Amino acid sequence: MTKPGLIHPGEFAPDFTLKDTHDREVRLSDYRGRPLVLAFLRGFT
Amino acid sequence: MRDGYSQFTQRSVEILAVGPNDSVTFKRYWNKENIPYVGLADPDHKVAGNYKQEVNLFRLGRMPLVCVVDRQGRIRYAHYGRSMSDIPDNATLLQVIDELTASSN
Repeated sequence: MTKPGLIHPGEFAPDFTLKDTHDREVRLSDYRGRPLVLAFLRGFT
Repeated sequence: MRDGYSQFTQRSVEILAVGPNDSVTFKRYWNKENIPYVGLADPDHKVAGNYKQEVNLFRLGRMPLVCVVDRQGRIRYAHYGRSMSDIPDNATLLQVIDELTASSN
């Protein structure tokens, strides 16, 4: 039931650095050591 | 996710929300809605692209994608929404997290 072209459980989450709403740089790998929920939003206007 | 945020923080789980808006719009929305979790602007959609977030032209936009990442940085759960409102509920996410904790992942 896996679809090609999507990411699948077991794969490493691609690392990234983005700015949060307080202008702090947040790196995914900084959270290594505890579970994390990653939600990709639709966007708002 | 928002209403049950404390259920996540109680488990030392952070929620990161990545969105396609620019940082100014993001900041304004986050402050206005008083959203407790981390909001990350991804205006060039690079991160969304790396995670293969789907864009549906007929439905006019990005489809929701929710992942659970374990302690080692591996994806343990990925839900690609089939519609704008197709988002896993908190109970589903918390169950995945509790199973990870039980297996020390």
